[in-house]
Amino acid sequence: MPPNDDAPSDASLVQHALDGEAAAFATLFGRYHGAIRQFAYRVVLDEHAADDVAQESFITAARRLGSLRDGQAFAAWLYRIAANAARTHLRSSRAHERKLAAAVAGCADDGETPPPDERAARALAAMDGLPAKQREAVALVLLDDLSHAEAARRLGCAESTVSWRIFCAKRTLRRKLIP
Amino acid sequence: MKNSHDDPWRDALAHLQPAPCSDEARDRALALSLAALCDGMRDHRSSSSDGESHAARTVWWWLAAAAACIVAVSLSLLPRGPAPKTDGLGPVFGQIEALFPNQLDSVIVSAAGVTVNTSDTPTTTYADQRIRLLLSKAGSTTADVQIVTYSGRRVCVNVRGDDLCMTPLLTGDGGVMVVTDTQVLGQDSPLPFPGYRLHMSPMKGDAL
Repeated sequence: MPPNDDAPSDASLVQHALDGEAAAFATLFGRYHGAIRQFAYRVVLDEHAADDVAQESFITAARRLGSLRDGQAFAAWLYRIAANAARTHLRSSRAHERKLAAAVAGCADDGETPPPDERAARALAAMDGLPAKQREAVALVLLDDLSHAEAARRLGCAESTVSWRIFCAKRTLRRKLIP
Repeated sequence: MKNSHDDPWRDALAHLQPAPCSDEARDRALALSLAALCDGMRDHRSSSSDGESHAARTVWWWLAAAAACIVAVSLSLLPRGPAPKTDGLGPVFGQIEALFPNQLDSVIVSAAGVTVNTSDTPTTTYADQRIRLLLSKAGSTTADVQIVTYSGRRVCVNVRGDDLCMTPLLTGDGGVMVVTDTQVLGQDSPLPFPGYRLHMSPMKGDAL
């Protein structure tokens, strides 16, 4: 969640954290942990894995904070770390596949409006059909309503790359989600 | 490019929400991040110093040594309260630890008695991760509440009717910091309860 007008800026908190004030980093943690965990969940599609990815992201950010040149870019930098952590998790873990298989198996396909948990399972299964990089773009653009340019900044790629990933993702999602 | 026309997608994917994060997972992530921050700052400083010339490093070493001597002498002359006295919780903790191998979270001694907190799930514990916390009234030489726990474990105590929950952490330089729900405490940080102070120290295995 970005800071409001009265709250200290990310740049200010980063500088204080670099000066040794752990409380400043704790404030940054409180500001972004929920968003990063949600982003991670939409990529790894598993709550426990999302907890792990969010934790790993903040540990990495804390350890490398001294290498961040522009404190105002903290959020974008943190999202890039989280995206990398999520990809690493997906590469190394097969646990999410078992959970998704169970979710897909329980997915209704009778043409009626499914109850909320089945819609969640359907959304989960649809997202599982996307490559990780397309999930990242979907999470930021379609769900968090960021512009393609801002999403590109957070993912460390070109705006046109995000646009292409969204186009491809929509093509896949349309078959599974839009009646 | 903004996405005002993407509402149908958002509706279709709206159920892709994780359940709220547990306090335990969040606290653990924060605690580990703050410990990593300490490590990162130390590494960053040491790697920065690697780039300096040998001559500059020598000058800085002598200046730092001189400054450290001045600070050490100054600190030794300052009046400061000693750590509150305890009644030897260390040996008790060692005995309880042996009774509950890898299940002991903390032992808290206060006027209300001794509280032993154990975990349902065995977790590997290490002797060099033990931390002692002493909560006392400012100026008092005896601790009102003694806690022995491990780095990264959350403990809650009741002070004058209010709960104080905190997670003590060993830092990279061998010190201790304490993370509460609202602040990070060092050795001299003010507590949310005026008139009280918190003394924190690592407990080596041989301290038992």
